[in-house]
Amino acid sequence: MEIIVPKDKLKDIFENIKERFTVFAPQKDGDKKLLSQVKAFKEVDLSILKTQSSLKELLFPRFEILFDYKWNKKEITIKEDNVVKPQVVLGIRACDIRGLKVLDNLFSWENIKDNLYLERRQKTVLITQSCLKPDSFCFCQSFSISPVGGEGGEDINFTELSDCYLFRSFSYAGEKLLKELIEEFSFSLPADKDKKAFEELKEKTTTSKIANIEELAIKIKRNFYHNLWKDISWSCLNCGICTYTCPTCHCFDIVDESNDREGRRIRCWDSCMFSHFTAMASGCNPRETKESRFRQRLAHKFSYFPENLGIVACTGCGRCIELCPAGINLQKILTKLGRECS
Amino acid sequence: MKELQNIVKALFKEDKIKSVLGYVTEDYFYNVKPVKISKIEDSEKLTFNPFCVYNLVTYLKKEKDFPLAILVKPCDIRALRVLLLENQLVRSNLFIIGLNCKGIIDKRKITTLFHLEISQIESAEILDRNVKFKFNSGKEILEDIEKCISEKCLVCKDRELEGDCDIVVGEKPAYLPSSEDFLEVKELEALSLEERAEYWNKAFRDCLRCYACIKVCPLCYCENCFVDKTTPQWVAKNYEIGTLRDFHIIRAFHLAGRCIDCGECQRVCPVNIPLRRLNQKLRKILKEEYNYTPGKENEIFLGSFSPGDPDRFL
Repeated sequence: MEIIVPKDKLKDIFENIKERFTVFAPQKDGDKKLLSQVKAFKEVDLSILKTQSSLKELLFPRFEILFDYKWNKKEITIKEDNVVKPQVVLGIRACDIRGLKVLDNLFSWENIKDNLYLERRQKTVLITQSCLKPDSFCFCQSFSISPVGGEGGEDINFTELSDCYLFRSFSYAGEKLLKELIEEFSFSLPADKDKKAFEELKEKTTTSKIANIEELAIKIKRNFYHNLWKDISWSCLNCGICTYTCPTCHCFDIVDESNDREGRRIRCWDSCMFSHFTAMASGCNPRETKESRFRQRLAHKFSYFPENLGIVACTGCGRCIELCPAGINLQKILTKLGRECS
Repeated sequence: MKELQNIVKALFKEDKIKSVLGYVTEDYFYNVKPVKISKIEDSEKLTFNPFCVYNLVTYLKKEKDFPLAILVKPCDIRALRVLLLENQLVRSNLFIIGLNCKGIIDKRKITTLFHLEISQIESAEILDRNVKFKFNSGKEILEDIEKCISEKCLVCKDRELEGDCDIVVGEKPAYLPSSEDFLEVKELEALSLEERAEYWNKAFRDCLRCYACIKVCPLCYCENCFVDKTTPQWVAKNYEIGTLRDFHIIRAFHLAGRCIDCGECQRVCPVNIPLRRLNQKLRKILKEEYNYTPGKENEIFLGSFSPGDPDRFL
């Protein structure tokens, strides 16, 4: 379903949604670009192309309590208290939606359901915004993502046309929401000129594109011991920026925080870039060098993950390039791997 | 640039070094990368421009392939001095090439100035109080220096390289900033306790615990960092505000008497936490109480004692 929303009516839509859902949207806080809860429309900043932290944080938070427990000499009591409220995420981009697709596959892999993630996912309505001006870090088209959005995964997508917004729905929940909005505000359906304008924008918007990404799956495996790994990982500092801002990275750690009477079990993010990630109690560490950790991250994204779950675990959002403290450029590395490996 | 490349080439030819740590530019002018070059023909790629922000001394922490040459800016040399004082490096293993520096451009600042146009910058040159940007289109823009260069460069008054370097290249800056020292710290000190707590809680709240601040610090060289220690555990694994605050305060404290203000921790932070301010506070106390500036003295601060040291906090 498609509708046309005049530019000044966006605020009314926001107010309407806000009454029923907790709303998250990109917002500026000083020089930070955050994806956080918004209470008033003026806090929403749709000009932000990419928030520093990706959409994954709202569904797979940095840390969450799995359960609390108490014990005495006789018994142990466990308390699970995970209330998930319905939420709307507004103004995110197509690359982050692809990131969720990756996480969806993972958190329900071979019917092992991660209920915490899936429940949040089910109660989240995603309203994406078309990218009309991708930056030089973006390369989502390499993964057949359209920057304009609408490949599925989101509930609603909206595109800024010259004098209005075009809203399109892609799911039952999205269609339902649009129908409610039509009833409330009597929005019109798009005219031919709007459709044409949209098609033109879609055609015009492009990002960098890396050829033959799917070939990397086998190339990386074949060249596990290639010299270039040392070369490309030399400047890596082994911090966790690329993994923590990545919309698809999903490794976590589970720890107990307890004293002699009570405690809690929490799940928190972890990163394959840290040497302690693979350190074992015996003192052995299978990925001791920075080169091996760097290779692991790329191999997981472009080789092991697609092999096991049928989808490349990169969305071309470019956050890792933009934020890398050592100037490592994933686009360049992928091109180099494609060129120099057989 | 030619001067720098020729020096490195000569060093390779004379077999004085095995490799050099330097900077190269990739595609866009502003995209500078730290590199380790081990072949004489690659030294042609070496460059130095106002985007060479990386403190290459960080890469010496894990380096085993000596002797090598390293490019250092005046702020980086201070880190090198501390590492040498703390016996982490052997001076004769290094050939230090000093780079006279007029300031380093803060990418965040110019991204707010030029937005997407940043990729079209063809060159940038610092002229006294202005920065001249040339764009692909031929357009030239003159911007005020304060709007473009890093916070740390605005207070960097000591740009002496000669004493510690084997060779120094480039021309000395004609203009040095006149900004007052510790300005940001003084601003914070003027706030009430509650306001300060709110300021820092808000700053730490977004911390991802990516530990980039630790990994990039040239002076954080512990084999086993406190954040990784599990028996006993120093810092909990969760992301509650108290934990995040503990983590950042411990990190800053481990640099007390050592932090040389290269500003790298603040530059790399993906969520823009003003980390430099924590360390600046420590530097301010050191300056006021002991008249000690890390990276300038010939003694380790915590390893020295004078009967006249103030002990008001004991």
